[in-house]
Amino acid sequence: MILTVDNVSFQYKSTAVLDSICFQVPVHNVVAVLGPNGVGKTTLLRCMNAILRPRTGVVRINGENILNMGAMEIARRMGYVAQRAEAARTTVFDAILLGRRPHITWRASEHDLRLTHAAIDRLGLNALSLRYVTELSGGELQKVSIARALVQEPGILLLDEPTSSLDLKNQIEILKTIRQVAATHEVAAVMTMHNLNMALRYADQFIFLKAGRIFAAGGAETVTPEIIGEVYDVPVDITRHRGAPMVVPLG
Amino acid sequence: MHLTHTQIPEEYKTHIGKKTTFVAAALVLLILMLIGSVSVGAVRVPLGELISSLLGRASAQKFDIIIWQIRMPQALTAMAAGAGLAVAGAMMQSILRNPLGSPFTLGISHAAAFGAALCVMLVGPGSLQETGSWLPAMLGPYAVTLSAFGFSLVATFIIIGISRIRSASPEVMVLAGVALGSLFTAGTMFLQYFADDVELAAMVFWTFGDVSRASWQELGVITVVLAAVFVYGFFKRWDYNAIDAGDETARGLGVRVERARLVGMLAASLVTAVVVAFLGIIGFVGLVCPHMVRRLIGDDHRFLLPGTCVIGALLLLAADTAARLVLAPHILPVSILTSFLGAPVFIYLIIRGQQR
Repeated sequence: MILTVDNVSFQYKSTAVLDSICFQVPVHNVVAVLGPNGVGKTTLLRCMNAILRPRTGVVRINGENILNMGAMEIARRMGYVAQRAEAARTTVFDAILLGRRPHITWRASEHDLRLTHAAIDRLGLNALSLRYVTELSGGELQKVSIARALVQEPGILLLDEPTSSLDLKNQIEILKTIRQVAATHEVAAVMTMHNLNMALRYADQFIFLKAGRIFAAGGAETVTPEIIGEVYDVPVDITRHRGAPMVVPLG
Repeated sequence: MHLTHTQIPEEYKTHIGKKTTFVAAALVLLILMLIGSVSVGAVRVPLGELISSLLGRASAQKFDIIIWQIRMPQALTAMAAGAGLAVAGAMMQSILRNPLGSPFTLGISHAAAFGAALCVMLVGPGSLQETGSWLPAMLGPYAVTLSAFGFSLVATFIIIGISRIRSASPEVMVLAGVALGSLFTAGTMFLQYFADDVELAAMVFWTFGDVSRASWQELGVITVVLAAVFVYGFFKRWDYNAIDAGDETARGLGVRVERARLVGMLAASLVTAVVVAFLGIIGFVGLVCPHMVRRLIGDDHRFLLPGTCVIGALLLLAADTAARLVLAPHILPVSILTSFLGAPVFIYLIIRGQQR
């Protein structure tokens, strides 16, 4: 599915947060939304998912305005992984099965249960599948949220800092999974991130936000020391380590 | 398709099976308890007589009257009221995302008590005793009930109104409920202070929640409302599970969280209002019962809602049966027993919960 964000602006009360944001995410692409804390990355994702209603502008899926779709219809096409998930006393299996909710009319079918099991398998949560979510660590809970979005079978995945509470191995695992899902299925993914090196390794496109506007956007060539220095207000150098670009802060 | 199909693990099936078994076992226990409850009391009904009376082939009219006119409506009312209060509590706890959610803690019961007291004050205790005053004559014996019901709805609408202003946040709902409870309690005390002896007695007597007050008609009303609210809640069980995972996650799953919260609150309040208006205040069932069931089978509303419904019915029926027996031949109103036993059980649950 193709996701188009067309001239989206948003403000909380009188404070403008997003100003005329325009970009497009083609299918199979992974887009990293980058920028300092409080710049509006999460607000942008919420506008894209119609959790927040943009003040102006339109978000389209395959050309269709999402504000004309029902909440359930949006949920069938777009999966959203919130930055913070709450834990209830349900098992990991049931917490992930919940991702089928936009597709379930009355009860979970055999198909729903199988997809859930497959997602558990894919994210390596097998050993935890019957544990209560309340007993999980922050990182495990984050993986549950991501698995839940995967069983939703959306064409577009929106992830708000999907790796913020994960250790190095799990960060790599999750980002690889997101990449694989985007590459092998008709999926486009948009994720907000803070770790620039991880973004460089796993995203195809980069959007830098500064003061509510898109400061720079494009492929890996967009990520230059000048732009990062401007956006984050920190001088950096970009070196190459075994051919892969690496952002190294200076001073 | 993102994911290749695999088999559903056996352990998961067993896990789900256990929860279903729990609800089924509780249901069987409830039926046994009902038979037990109908047969014991000041007059003991032998099992044979009980069965033949239940089948409509009673040999002794005495037992038939005791069973069908006194004990059966009382037992069934206890079940319906227990189920109603417990389901209302479970729904309130979920949609408000607060373990303190219950008809009692959110001020709805207090509002009903105020409504009853106000009616007693304005039209006299006659509504309980049938005097010649015109208003109770018009409304029949239901004046106090209607007033109590009206005020519990007023409390509900104030809570919902306040939370609509603040975009239906659960904290606002809970705090507004607590504030209202205190306000209505003050109002009731004010009325009680200025009431004469007879009125005061009527007001206080009304607050003793007692399931023996209901006749078959009232039981019918409670049952219909309970059934409607339960079906609504069960229909929304996936939404409540989603809200448990966080408001934002729920929105991402297509749940209209604010609407679910407002309608759920209204439904839970409605069943509470009906029960309280007919029977008076029965504390703690709505708070304790959902927590007990949560401890036993978890927060999954697919099982939590039916589970609370059955266990709520079982608890209040057991409490009412006990209340008829402890001081026999005197009969205690069940509310005294539920509050008396509910508090220590709740404290025990809290302490056990902390150790986990």
